[in-house]
Amino acid sequence: MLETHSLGKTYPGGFAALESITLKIGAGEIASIVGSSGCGKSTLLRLLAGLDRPSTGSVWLDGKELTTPHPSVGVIFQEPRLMPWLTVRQNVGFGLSHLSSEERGVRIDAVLERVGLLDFGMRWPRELSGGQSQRVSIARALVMQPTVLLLDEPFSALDAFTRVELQEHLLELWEGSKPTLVIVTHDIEEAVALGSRLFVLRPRPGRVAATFEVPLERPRDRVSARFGEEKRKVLAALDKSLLDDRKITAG
Amino acid sequence: MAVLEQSETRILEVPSISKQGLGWARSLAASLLGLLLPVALGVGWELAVRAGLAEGRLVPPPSKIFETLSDLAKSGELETHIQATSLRVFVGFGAGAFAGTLLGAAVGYSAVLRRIADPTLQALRAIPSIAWVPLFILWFGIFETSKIILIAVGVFFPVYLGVLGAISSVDRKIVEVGRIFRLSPFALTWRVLLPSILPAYVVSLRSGLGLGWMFVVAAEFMGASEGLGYLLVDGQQLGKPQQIVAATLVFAVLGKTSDWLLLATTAPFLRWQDNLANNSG
Repeated sequence: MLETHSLGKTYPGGFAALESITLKIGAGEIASIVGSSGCGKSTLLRLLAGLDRPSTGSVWLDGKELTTPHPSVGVIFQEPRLMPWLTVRQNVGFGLSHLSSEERGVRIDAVLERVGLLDFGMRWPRELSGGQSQRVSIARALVMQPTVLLLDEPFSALDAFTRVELQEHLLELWEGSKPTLVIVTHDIEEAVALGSRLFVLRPRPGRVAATFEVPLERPRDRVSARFGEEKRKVLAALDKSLLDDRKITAG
Repeated sequence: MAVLEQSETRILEVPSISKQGLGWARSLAASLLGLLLPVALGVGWELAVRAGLAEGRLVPPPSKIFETLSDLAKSGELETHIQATSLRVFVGFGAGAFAGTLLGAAVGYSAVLRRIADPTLQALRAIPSIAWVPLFILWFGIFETSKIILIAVGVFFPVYLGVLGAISSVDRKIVEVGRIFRLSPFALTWRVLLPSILPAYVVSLRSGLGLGWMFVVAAEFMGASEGLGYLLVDGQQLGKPQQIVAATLVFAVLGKTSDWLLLATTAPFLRWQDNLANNSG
């Protein structure tokens, strides 16, 4: 269970990015957090990851307060952030230095096979495509066997085909060990396709505007009427939050 | 199917080999082209002197330079001088690069240290290093110590600046990955900072080494009884221009060789770089 209690973040300049965010995300759930740019989505994820400290409130994982990066919380960033001086295998094994090289090799092989990059182990990151690089970064997080995986707009830099492919691939990987996934995105389709629960954020300062359960069974059919219906609901909530924001600014 | 694949690879391989061979020949031709001008000038001058069109006393023809070189080599003098100079550069470069790396890393890493030490070091850098010579002679005498310290000072600054700049421009996003994996400060330095500054570090070491060769000449001008710089001074005082030119040639060869050695030792660690050299292979 990943929880936040009235989480807020105000930057030193006085800019309030987030205000009283309270979330409860159950184990094995996939939570999508959607919002327009500048609504504090990434800030929220950084607080969940323990990369930044909140100004108010707290983050709790399984009943323990989380203040620094936690070993069972993996993070996947928008950019793959691979170490260019390490091969694919070495990148994937980056967090496994405490293991013997034999054990490390076994774990790396297993995870590379799962992301379909077993033949790419000896390549340099510069030799990979954008989608492949992001797969390596997913493998690097998965190999740690996290119970929570935080994803910050993980597929937004990819082309539409690769994006859908990797979204489906992420779901397949999730089916394996069912970690809790928290996906921050500005792509409504992505949010609906992946999330079992959906949080819509509104900007200035970032707050939760609406929460949805996504009642679609998996695998989800993106062109079905029900999928479209869910998308419309989210879009309406987003629109409303933006409209409210505009009224406040105007008034 | 397997047979088909094999024949396909074979077909693919043939043009790539011939292309590689061609590229090799082309690069050889290109470097030969670069030799054309100096060789033509040398041969021209040699012919002019032989034909009596020029005197060639102050500007000795190539044959005379090579004669001087082989005489020096035969008497064993050349070896002594090369050894003396190389040893000075080696020790001075080692000391200067070590200090530059250490201070550059410390000052680059700690904002407090940067505020305390960097202004002083930058001010010292503004002093032309040769200006230290009189002071170094007073402090350390005229023998090896003062020479090596002068070379070390020359090497120190480019290395210090290179490391400092490289550390402050390390990608914050990559460092964040290190934090996600909860690396200790030591592990973060060893596994993230060090490899990411390596390319810039090698560049700064190369420019440091170049300055090392420059400063060894200045150091040997200060008064030395052996070394290639001594050969230069000796050639000037005894009116032997061929000896001066011979010594400069040896400098060129040594400088180039040491630079090549540095590059060759570091190349295996930089194969990952996404640059022209690595992608043209």
